[in-house]
Amino acid sequence: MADGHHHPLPTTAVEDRVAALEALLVDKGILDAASMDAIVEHYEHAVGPMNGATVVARAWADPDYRARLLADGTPAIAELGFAGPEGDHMVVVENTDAVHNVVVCTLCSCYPWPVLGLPPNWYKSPPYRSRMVREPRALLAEMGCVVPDEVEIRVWDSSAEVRYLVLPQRPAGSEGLTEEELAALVTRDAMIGVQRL
Amino acid sequence: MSPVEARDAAFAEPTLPRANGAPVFDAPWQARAHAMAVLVVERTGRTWDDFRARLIGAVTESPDRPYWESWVAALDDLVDESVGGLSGGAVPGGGVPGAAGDGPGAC
Repeated sequence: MADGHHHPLPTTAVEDRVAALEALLVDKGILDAASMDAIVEHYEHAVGPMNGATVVARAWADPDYRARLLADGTPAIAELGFAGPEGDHMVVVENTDAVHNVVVCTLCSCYPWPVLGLPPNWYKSPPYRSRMVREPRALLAEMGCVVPDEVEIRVWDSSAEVRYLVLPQRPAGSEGLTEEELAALVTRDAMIGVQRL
Repeated sequence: MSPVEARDAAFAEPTLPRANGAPVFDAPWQARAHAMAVLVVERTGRTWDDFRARLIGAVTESPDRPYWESWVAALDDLVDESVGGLSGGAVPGGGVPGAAGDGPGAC
């Protein structure tokens, strides 16, 4: 990992082994970085954020669960069976008519893997990390997420200790949907806060 | 085996940890290890069953080892046979079927 020296958690032996294998295979011409990235990118979208979407859908459907989730994210998320070392201290922040939340990790790429899967490439990019703090409204607009002027934007800086999940607003017209149908409306980007549903 | 077929076979792998039917990765290195297995199988002209047999062997050998570490052990084994691996020393003449000629531009 290029930004490894910033990462608060040291790499493990198995991570090093995977990196060494990848380097060897690239060297031998069996793999190329572009093909690896293409597959991993597919995983980011196809297999990542399902757990988070399940949490959000439950919160939309069940006010008691929503209250527990906002009061203390980690145990509420664990109720649904999602836990892990990268989800130990989850804080859930709720979007409202007056507030839009967005998550960044200014130091490296801390991310709630157990609920969101793999972080997208741009999450780790220096421009995202610096501009989301400096000029969130402009950057969000560039990413296709226009936040009305009257809505306050709150930027949350994830760390190895605390990882944030955005609870998006339930879309209008979604009354009567089942939890499963609601979960299908929830995107990874909405749970990072770079999309409004 | 096309990349899409290899990926389908890899995702159909019944031992993968899943949530709501979808495979889950707890960390990026696990996804990279998964992607690597897909590509090595495809580009060395093997089948997913070849990798699968090694994975089952690795799990059976150390049942208490975390799943993804067994995956890496199986991958290690596959790579070792394909290119000599990290500990197997130099590869004489690059003996990888399908890799030397096709190269990365093949797909």
